[in-house]
Amino acid sequence: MTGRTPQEAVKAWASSFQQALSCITGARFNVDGYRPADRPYDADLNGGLAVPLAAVARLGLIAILRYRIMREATSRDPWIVRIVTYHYSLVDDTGRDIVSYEWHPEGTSWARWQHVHIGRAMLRDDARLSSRMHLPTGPVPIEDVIRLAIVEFDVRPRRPDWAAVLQRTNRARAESPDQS
Amino acid sequence: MATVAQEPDVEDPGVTVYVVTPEERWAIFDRAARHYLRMSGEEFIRAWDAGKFAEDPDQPEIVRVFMLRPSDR
Repeated sequence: MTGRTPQEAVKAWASSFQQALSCITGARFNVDGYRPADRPYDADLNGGLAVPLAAVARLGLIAILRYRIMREATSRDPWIVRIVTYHYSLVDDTGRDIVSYEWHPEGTSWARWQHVHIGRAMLRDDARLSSRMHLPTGPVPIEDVIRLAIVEFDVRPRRPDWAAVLQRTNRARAESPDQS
Repeated sequence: MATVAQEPDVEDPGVTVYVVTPEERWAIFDRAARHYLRMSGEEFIRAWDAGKFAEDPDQPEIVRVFMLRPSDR
């Protein structure tokens, strides 16, 4: 997301997240700041704790990110927000992971690429697949996780225009190819 | 282990975006460390910096707390 000022760029970026998340939750989305810095800023939904979703089988969403504010002198709106780390999980009613989409290139994990973990509770003990495996993905935007929750896990959307909202917010942040 | 509480239906579909202060960011991190790992934020930082999570850095609870660690700490 771009802006004429760092504050404008962060506001546009956070607002797009806000709009997307509003399709399934009313929980608070926190961002850290909007001043350019050498370090990334943190952002989270509900302090990083699971937010309950309205579904027949109880389901929760966890969303934690880091973002950087950067200046691209060639752009008309020179300030841009880029996601540099994300963790989006769907968990069951006991907090066990069902599926987790992750990208954390700055941690100690050897997996520096975007990947998905299948939750241990979703796997048989003798499964060839392990919850520790990093199954490669491309960048996964939050809109895809929200759509997954609604379409595949029967989460009841909080607004009737959810499909259009997700399309709009995803397109807005997809202006940059490594956004997610 | 995280638990999921009941959420009442909400008529307003909006989500509040909130700019947290450094003190609030620390409180979020500390609460998450206690929730997911049963330790304080300070204890997590000491353990992380000592390499105590290096053998299993992909454990979901560790990833979450690590990502919530204030980036200036």
